[in-house]
Amino acid sequence: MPPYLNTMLSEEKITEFGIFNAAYVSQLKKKMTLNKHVSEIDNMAITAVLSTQILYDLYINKSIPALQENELVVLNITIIDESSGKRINHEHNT
Amino acid sequence: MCGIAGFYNFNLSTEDKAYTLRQMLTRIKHRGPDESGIYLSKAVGLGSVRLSIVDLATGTMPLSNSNDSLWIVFNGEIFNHIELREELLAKNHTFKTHSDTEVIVHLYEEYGPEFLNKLNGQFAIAIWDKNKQELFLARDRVGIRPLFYTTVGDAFIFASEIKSFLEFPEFRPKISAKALSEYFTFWTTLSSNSAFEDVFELPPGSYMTINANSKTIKTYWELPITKPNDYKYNTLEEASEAFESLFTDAVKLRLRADVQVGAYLSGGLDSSITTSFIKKILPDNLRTFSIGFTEKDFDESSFQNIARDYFKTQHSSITCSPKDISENFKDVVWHSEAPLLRTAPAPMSLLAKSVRDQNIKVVITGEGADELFGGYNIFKETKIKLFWAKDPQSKYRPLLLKKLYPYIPQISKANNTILKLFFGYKLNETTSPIYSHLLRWHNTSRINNYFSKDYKEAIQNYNPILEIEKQLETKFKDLDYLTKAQWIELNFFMSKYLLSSQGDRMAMANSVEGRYPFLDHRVIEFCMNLNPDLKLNGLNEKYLLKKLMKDRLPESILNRPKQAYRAPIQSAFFQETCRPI
Repeated sequence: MPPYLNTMLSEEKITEFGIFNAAYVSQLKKKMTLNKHVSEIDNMAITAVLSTQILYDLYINKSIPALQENELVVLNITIIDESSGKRINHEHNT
Repeated sequence: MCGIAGFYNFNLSTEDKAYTLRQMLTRIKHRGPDESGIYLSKAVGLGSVRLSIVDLATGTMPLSNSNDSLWIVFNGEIFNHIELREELLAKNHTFKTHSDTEVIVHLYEEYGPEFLNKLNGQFAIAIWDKNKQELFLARDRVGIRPLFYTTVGDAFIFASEIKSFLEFPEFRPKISAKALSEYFTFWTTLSSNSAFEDVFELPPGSYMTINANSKTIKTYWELPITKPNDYKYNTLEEASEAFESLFTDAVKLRLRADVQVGAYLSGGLDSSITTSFIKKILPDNLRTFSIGFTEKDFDESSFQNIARDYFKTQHSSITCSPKDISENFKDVVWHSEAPLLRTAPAPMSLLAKSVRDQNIKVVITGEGADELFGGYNIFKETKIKLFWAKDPQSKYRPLLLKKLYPYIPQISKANNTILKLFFGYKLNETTSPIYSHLLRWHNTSRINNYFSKDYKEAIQNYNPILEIEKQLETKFKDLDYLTKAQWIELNFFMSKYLLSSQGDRMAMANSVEGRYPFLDHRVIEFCMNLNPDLKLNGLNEKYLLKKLMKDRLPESILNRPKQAYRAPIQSAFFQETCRPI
């Protein structure tokens, strides 16, 4: 498992985010690791826990890098509609 | 195809508003890497990132009507824009471009919100009406293209994807415990909720108006429901003739583009049918794409090769390993913006990437056929259970269920007692509007047991299954079992999961547009007026399609047992070293 996913399923992160019961998730992980075949529900449960942890990390913790000025989209057209009239800039970043 | 974002009543300087909008657009630039633009007035901001498919030269957004009183940003395609343009020209409208976007703004000018009924397409629309000082948002009939909204202070904000909101000042998302409980039961939320508190999705088939005094949502289209004895198509002959004509037109419209259109060819019946119809219209040089798996339980390569050889397409395929899934899973969640219960979206993302790497921006796929023609096992399961419920002590009737899930050994190898234990849940509640899904949802809802104490407390009095049962009781009165089960699959699973997490998000993450002829609203309306026996005949699914395509597809594809599209989970996350070669 890639290190990031492993971290998201760690007892520390499960406890920190507070959505899931760390002991239950730990049991599920053990089952997934040791058993050759697990049930459909176990497969769905581990995917649900992992994806929710990632969702929390990306969207609530905002672990994604902040956008840099040079990453921002280049505007092909900017239309400023003011009471005094319409201003159109082509190929120009405001 | 594009991404859109914007706001209403956001009081900052023009420069600051422009900067915020650029940030919001940057978060969704994968949806439209070709160009971008913004419109700003005192009251509103509209932004677009564009994937150029129709009118590459002059379709830059935002666009306006002739007197600049209406401004639009738009995500999607209007497939019948040529016919609509002619209608508008006859009414003396004049156009500056050849794009479908400009047609929309003129349609709105001519007809108001009623214009939505004229569209054949997949879309999310935002129009600023300067005269009315009103923002108009709309979404296609079945929710192929996404549109989210929320409020921050006095400002109303909207975007194709929630991640845009992360760039809006003071937006502080919170996970909704109630929404999670719904995801862990239905694979999606019940209403317009997202996984985040106070972030909503505009429902499919509806539009919203926002002005200084109100915020209103209205429905312009609903999935038609036909009662038994009212079906319009009851014989194979009349249904075949009508479908052939409708579907040919649906495919023809979806081949309209100023770039090359490709197709997915999964080795299943649905994509083979769409490919067959495409080949009828465009016999040469069709590019097709497929994905296989290193794990043979999931792999359909042999059928894909049969289809490729039969149609003689220019075919490309990739192979996905469990490691590919785990390595891409973080990105998949980032793009789907929702909890997932399956890894199936990950290979779809890899497939879209391979399409884009070969410079194809548009693919036609077979999505919708399973829901509309009774293809899923849950329809057969319901039919068998209704038969079994008439004689609950029968030793033989539950054995019919074994055949449905050959890929789940716990079922395919189970004896009568185990089958009764597993499938017998609420067997006799045959009058429940959600009878078809009671067992599935009950089983899936066991994931809720993994919640922490705090989350369990937050949802302790909430039972989403009871909630939906109550909601559908009156609506489903006197309907046949298949119509009820189809309605649930189409409205929940397809619209809110399949077309989103597995469809739009995975394709658009790689700047690829999917087009779905089975989801042309005329095809949907036809199917909902089809006698159920022409969909699920005995336990033979997609009966009409199989009869129609009898001499037009390889026998091995036409009559292959239904195989659900799935991807590895356990080996992807836990047993990478044990996977078979």
